[in-house]
Amino acid sequence: MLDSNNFSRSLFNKTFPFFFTVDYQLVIRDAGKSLLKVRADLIQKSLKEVFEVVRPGVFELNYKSLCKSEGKVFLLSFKHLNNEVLFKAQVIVLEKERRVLFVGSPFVRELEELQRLNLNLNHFSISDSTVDMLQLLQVNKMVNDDMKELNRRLKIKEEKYRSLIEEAKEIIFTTDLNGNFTYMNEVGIKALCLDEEKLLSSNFSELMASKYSENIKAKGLDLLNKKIEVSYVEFPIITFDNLWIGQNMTLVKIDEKRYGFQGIARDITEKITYEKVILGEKEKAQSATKEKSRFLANMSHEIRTPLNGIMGLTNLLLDSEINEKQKKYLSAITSSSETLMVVINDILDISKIEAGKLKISKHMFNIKTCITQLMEMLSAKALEKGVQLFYKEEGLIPEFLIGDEPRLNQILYNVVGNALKFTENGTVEITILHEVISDDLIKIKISVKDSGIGISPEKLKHIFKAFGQVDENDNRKFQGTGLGLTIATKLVDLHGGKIEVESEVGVGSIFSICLPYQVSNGDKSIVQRVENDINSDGLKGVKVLLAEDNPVNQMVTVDLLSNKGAEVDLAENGKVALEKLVLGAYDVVLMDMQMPIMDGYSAMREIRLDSKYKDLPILALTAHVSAQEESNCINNGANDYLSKPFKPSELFAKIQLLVPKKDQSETVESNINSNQEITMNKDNLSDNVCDFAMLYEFTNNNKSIVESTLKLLTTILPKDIKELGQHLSLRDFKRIKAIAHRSKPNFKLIFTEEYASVIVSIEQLAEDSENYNQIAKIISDLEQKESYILSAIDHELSLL
Amino acid sequence: MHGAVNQAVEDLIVSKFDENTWLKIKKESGFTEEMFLSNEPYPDQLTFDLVVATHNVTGMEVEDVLKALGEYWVLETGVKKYGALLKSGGDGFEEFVMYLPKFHGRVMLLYPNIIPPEFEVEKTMEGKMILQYHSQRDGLTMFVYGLMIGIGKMFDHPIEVEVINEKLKGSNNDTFLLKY
Repeated sequence: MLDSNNFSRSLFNKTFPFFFTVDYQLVIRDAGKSLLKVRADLIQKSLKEVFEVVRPGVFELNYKSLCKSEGKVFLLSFKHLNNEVLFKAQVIVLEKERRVLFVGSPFVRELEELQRLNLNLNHFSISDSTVDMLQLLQVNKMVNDDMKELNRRLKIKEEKYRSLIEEAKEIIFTTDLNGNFTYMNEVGIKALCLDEEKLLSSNFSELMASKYSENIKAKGLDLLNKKIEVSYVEFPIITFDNLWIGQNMTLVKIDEKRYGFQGIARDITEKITYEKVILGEKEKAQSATKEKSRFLANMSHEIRTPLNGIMGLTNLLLDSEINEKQKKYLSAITSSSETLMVVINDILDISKIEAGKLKISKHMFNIKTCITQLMEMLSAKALEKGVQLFYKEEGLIPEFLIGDEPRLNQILYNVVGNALKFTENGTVEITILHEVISDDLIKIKISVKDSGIGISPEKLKHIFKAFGQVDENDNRKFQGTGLGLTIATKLVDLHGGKIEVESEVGVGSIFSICLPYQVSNGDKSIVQRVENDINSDGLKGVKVLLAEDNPVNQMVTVDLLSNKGAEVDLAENGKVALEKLVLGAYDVVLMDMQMPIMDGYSAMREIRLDSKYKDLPILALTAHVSAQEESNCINNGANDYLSKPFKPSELFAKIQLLVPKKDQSETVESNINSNQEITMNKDNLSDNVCDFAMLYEFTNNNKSIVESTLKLLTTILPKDIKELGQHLSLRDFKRIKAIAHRSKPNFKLIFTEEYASVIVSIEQLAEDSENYNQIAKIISDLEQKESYILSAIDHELSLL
Repeated sequence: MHGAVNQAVEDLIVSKFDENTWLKIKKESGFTEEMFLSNEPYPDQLTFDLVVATHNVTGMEVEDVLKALGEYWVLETGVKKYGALLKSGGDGFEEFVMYLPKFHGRVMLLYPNIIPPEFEVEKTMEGKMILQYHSQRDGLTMFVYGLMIGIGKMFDHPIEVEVINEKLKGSNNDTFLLKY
């Protein structure tokens, strides 16, 4: 094979580039080109000079031994490289040539050795796996280097995040899905006073009451089921007196199969404390508001009920046969009552507005009629003062609008009334115009110009504020609560409108009101009919069922309606009303709300249960005045409601709106005969408890009414006192309250102011069963005085 | 593409710009792992995304990114990763390039999931070689350009590289004229 044929030698050199041959004297005769790269001068050198035999270990190096070693693996070391680099070879005996052939390659364990051997990868044949091994070694090294680098980076990150977590002010923790802690930062361990060593065997539920831990478990499930991404909970730590924690928690993936929770928590004790304080303050404020509302409602009821009686009776008297002096006195009473009503309404309205309970309703109305009626209402006052009151329209104003007519009336009444009040002579001019906003939306602009005292710039700032009058130095000169403009302003605000004023002292003022309204495309005939009906007299033939327990109110209302031709049937409570309804046919039911046995609300509900009465008009009469009360009445079945005290015209108008038109006739004269004047015999006043002055005043000294009222009271009062006692023994405070409520007007008619207040006390005390003893004391006193009271009434009757 | 090439992108950006710039490029490319593993095969698209993201973030032209990457891979990443193995590819520039085909042939055995490119080298005259670059991937012409420059610098042998044919321009493969 190894002859001088260059093709064969060339091929052999490429395949085994590290071969060498030795002769029988072990002299190197030939070598491959790669081996010559390692040591260029090894030709003609002795084998022993170039190599050290490492393996076989026990071997006599001679030709004869080599010939016997064919097929064995020899490990040689390069002597010139301090025997540090090995050469692995296999021996082949070339008998014919009397040579031994060594085929193999350097045993390189690392790439750096290649450099030492003066070799590169190209010096190895393609079949030599040395290169592959070196590359694999390098790949392995690269993998190790990558792992080291990855670990280094992760360590840096871990340090960074650990530092962030440990230095955070919040409690940071992780748990497994069962809530067992797997980690908590130092801050958390200290804040919760946990034993660091026992942390990993603790569960979060040990820190809180079960209702909180159950909640957190439920949130955990939601997180796991991906219903939520983050949960927030607040809970107290049970191992502390007062430590509240607010905690955000999320689900984390630990690895392919495992999940856990991680959370950030903070001490929110201060926040919880503040919330409790705020809640307490809020409850106090709400309670105060509620008390205020109840007080106002009670006061409203207390004042309105007798006022209703006064106004009603006064109107009845005015319709009866009276002399001029009586007419004058009665007119003064009417005027005073109306003024008082205005004051009450002002106070209640401002209260409602402040409480956000006043709503602007939307009904179709005729603005021209509204203004005309206002002018009529105020013209007398203007005439009295010698002030000329003008009204003019600019442009063609849409007549029918959607809005709250009474509130518009109230705004204008206050503003124009105010102008009249502060104008001693000259004029008050009302101008109305409109501005089109869209097809069905307009702005109504009303200006009220007066030639009054004017307002200084300093006082202009306060003009719309409550109780602010122009002349602070003499605020008795101009009567009034000082709430009128404030109410007007707030009503304008509720409408979404604007009110402005320009003024000059000594010249006058101009108040400009701008209100948005929707133009109505509705049935104008309805409005017209209502207006006609309201303006006409008579409820002739209208069958009215009046459910009212208060005898005085019964009397007044029956007489008022009878005078107008209505046929009135009376029921003293809701139950009786239902019985009478079955027996008779009525056009309308007037239902008082507060009645014994069955109140108005219950009665209305019962009525509406029967389909026969689904269209029966029911007008609720109530002394409570609020949007809530209106809502209650309507929700319980009323078609409309009327608050006491009401003007007779309001009652007639409401009935006529509810009932289809009946034939008109002339007003039936009142059948109340006002006879001789009765002078009150003050000497006959019994003692401190009874005082009949209010009764005489209320009935305008009408003997007949005084007599019938006193006779009625001799029956009613003992009955009421007896019922109070009975229900006290039954501890039925609800009934006690109802009886006290209905008895209030009666008490006011015949007792002193001081003693009359006991029934008010009973009504208030009955709110709380804890007041049993106090109620019992008052009722006992009443019972003891009963015979005396009856004697006093008898005595008074004897004087008539 | 094996991870060592993508590592070269990271190393290049960090050395030429800063860590923050690399983080922006990494984020834009969509790569979310901590680092590239040298011997791990990654989708070729990721390498292209890294190059484009580098252009978007640094403003460097894509061609310049590839050239810089090729050079950097040889002189920095290659030497760091492959060390003596790289330098033992030949005794000089000419030998190294001449034996590139054989080198890549062996490398293929170590990375069964990677299909390495193939090179054909022909010495046309003294100081000139034609290098044919065959690859399944398009768009790496300038990377090879940079590799050649880098190899020249590794052997302290200044060279010139001329792109004669480009696959992207319709040729069957990329052809380079190397003058050294």
